[in-house]
Amino acid sequence: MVMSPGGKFEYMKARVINRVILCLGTVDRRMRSMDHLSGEMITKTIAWTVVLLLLSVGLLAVCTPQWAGKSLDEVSVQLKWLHQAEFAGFYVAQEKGYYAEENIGPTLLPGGLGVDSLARVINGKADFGVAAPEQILVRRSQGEPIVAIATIYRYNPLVFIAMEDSGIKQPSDFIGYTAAVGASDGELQFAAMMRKLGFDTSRVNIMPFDLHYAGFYGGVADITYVYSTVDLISMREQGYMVNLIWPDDYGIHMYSDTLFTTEAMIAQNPDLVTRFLRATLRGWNQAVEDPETAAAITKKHAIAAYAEFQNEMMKSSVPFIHTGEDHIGWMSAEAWEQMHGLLLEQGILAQPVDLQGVYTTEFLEKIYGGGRG
Amino acid sequence: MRLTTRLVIFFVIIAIIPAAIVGYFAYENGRRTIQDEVMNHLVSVSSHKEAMFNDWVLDKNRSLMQLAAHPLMREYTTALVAREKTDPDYQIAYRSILNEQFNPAIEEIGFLELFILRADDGLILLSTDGGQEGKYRENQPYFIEGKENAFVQNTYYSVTRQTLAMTIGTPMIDVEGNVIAVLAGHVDLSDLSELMTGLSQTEDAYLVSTLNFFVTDPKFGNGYALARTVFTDSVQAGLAGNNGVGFYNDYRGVPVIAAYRWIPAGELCLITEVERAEAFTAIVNLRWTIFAISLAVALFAALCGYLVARTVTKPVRELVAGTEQIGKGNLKYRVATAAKDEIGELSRAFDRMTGRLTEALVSRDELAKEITERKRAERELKETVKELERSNADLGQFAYVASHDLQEPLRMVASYTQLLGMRYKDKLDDDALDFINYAMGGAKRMQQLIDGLLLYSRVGTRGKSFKPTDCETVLQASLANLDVAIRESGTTVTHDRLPSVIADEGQLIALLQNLIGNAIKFQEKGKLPRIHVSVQKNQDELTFSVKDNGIGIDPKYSERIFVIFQRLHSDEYPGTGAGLAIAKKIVERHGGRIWVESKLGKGSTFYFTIPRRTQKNANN
Repeated sequence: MVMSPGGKFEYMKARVINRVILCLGTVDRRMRSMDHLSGEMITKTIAWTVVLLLLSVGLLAVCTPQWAGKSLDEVSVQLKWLHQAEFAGFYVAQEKGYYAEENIGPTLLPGGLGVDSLARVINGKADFGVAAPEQILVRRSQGEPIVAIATIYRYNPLVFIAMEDSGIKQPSDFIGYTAAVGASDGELQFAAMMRKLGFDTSRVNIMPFDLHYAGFYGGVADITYVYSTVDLISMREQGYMVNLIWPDDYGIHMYSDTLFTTEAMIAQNPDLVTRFLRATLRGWNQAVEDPETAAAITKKHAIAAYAEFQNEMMKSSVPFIHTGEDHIGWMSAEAWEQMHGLLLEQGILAQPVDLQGVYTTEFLEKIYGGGRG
Repeated sequence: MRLTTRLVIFFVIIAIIPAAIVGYFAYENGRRTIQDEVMNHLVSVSSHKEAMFNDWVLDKNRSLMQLAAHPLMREYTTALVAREKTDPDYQIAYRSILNEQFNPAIEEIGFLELFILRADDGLILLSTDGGQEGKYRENQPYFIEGKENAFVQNTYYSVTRQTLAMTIGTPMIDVEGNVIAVLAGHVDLSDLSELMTGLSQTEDAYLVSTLNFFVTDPKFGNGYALARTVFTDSVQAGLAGNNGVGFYNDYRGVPVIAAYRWIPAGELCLITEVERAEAFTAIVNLRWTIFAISLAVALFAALCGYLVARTVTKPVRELVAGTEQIGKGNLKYRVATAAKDEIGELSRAFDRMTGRLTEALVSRDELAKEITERKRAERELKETVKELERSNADLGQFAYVASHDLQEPLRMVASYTQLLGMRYKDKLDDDALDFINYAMGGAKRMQQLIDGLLLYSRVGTRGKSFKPTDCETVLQASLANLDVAIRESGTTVTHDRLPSVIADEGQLIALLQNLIGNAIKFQEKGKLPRIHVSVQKNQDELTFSVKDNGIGIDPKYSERIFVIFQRLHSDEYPGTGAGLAIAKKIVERHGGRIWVESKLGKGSTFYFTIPRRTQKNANN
């Protein structure tokens, strides 16, 4: 693992800078609120501001070295979903000061229903994003200048489920039933799996995916999907017995959460990309090594309803992230080719996409110095 | 610091340093030996375990290959691949494989699941776990590689099974030699846990997969296998493909000595470890033993030091006590040691010294007493002398004052008596005139006495300083003064050649004049006085003598004649009786003596001495 020197120090410095910025902000607000006051007061305030400024500059000069004179690089990350253990590595990297060590001030933006992380990055609302690789391929084929730089979930935790007593155990059993997978992450994999097995999806009733599984629990939907690392856990805790139909068992081998950015970012600020990715992967390595602490850190971000599942979620995620084959985050050409081939085969991609542009292991190689762990 | 303390410390240091050095090396040596032993043992255990693991894998592999090579298996599998599910032959083949081949064998050969994959697309045609049938394993290495050769796919995460799996795949060949299927089996990894047992009580051994999952239960982690991850340094080192041994903390955070070993055949890390505390029990014991020995040595040395110190310090202390006693003045104290060593000698020498000191002090005391006595005597003498000098001076003063002040009334008495005689000569009778004459004579005598006394006292009070004086001159001067008497009496004065002396010239003249005058005066009538003045030179003094042929003096009066106003002859020879007293006083003032040698009628010789003195001490 690559470590930046003087980690703690950098972190502390970042905090000092934040404090000073905060302070200046306060002064500024006060000044504005004092418009009606005498000019003398304003002069005084300005003098104070100057003193504070000089003080902060002095402080920075005293505690110098690497990033002397530079302010933190503000980086925003558009997550794929609400704050939860699925993104634990980011929180850990932030909490442990890995970003600060790289002189990065991260803003972790939660996703949610209707939040298209790809669109937000493409539109410049965020610098980095987390998305499913098939979506990256699709957007890429549409000409969007996005590039995958690392894959966090190398196994896909998405699994189709049916109630145990339904007798639905495999895709062939889906025929004639209702599947709540529409307009969601699962739709693509569902279609791909069915087509791969030679089943006509029209023979399955597709209804929109419901985040709360109301239809599934109520018997309206026979089939839906969950993330094995997330909802499956809560579902089982609630006592639901479900059959799991893994796309992986039927020739659908998809990466899941993949970190991406724009071509412009890579071209203009490759150093920032490296630093950001290095800190993030450090966070993930740490999260995998110590899932309990990672879960505890995650709880600070997660919404209350999710908090209690973070520990289980984190632990069950570990094999999907740390596969034992490569370094965490690593992407293999085979996997991308396979995903590409699959999407092409299924007609989800109308025409081949140049994989050279879709993903790059340039930064992974720079960080790890090679593939195999 | 006291000698005892110093000696004890010295002995302890002398003893403890070699003991510590030897102990340290012994301990280090022992520690290293034990540590090496433990490490070597761990390494040999791990290499043994690796061999066992390899055998185990080989065994699984062979079992599967044997199963795949079974003629019936091949025949039935051909049917499975070639025919439709609905075909009776398929059904027969399916049941036969499952019931006659797989089910009886699965447990014996240690597999969790046995299944057959169609070579074309990796479809699971048949499985001991029916739920797996219909799934595809086309991307799994055990299928891809298994089509060529028997292949062991080491621990990986099986998404479907949601656990770790180790799967072996081996090709199945039909009669024509075509690979028609892959026979695969998920190995029962719990066997491995047994493989890792059989260690001594304190040892622990476990396998860790590349996913950092425990593959077997460690000793203190029941249920850890395939369920828990471990990221200890030893595991990470092993997973990085290294072999080694060292000090680590294990999965519980307990300090251990661990040997890590990368098993390429299984892509696993084998950890064999022993708790450091237990491994080092022997070392700790060794340390305690060495410590105890060192302590014993130190104590013994301290005792030796104490004893030696005692033999040295006891006589020394006695000596010190003796010194203190003597210092307090107890000179009778004796150390009286029986020791025969140097300190004994010192003590005896000390005793001898004390003895001599006592003697010396006694004689010194006597001496001091005598000195004191003498000093007192001297002091008394001095006081007496002073007293005498004072009374002498008083006396001189008195004599002078008296003689001086007496003259005035005496002159009045004499004048008025004379006036009475002259003026009333006619009116007085002869008796009265006689009386007046007597009174006149008395006054005259009184006048003479007073003059004599005045002269006498003036010797002390009106003396001149001493100067070099030629005695020839002096003699001539005195003879000149006596010129009338000499001529009247027909005296012959002879003399030796006289030297010069340091003296009061006037007094010296008076002295000689006195003595010569006396010699002239005290002569038988009609006999011509012959006087000889001589001098005898001695070392310190000059002895002058004035020899006459006069009437002589009875030797019994030889002292008395020098007392003032003492007269042997009151009427025959005129005089006041002051002359010799004055002579004596003059001589004494010069530091000399005066005496007389004489016999009645045989003349007398007056001697006096004048000390030789230099000008320098003339007045002393």
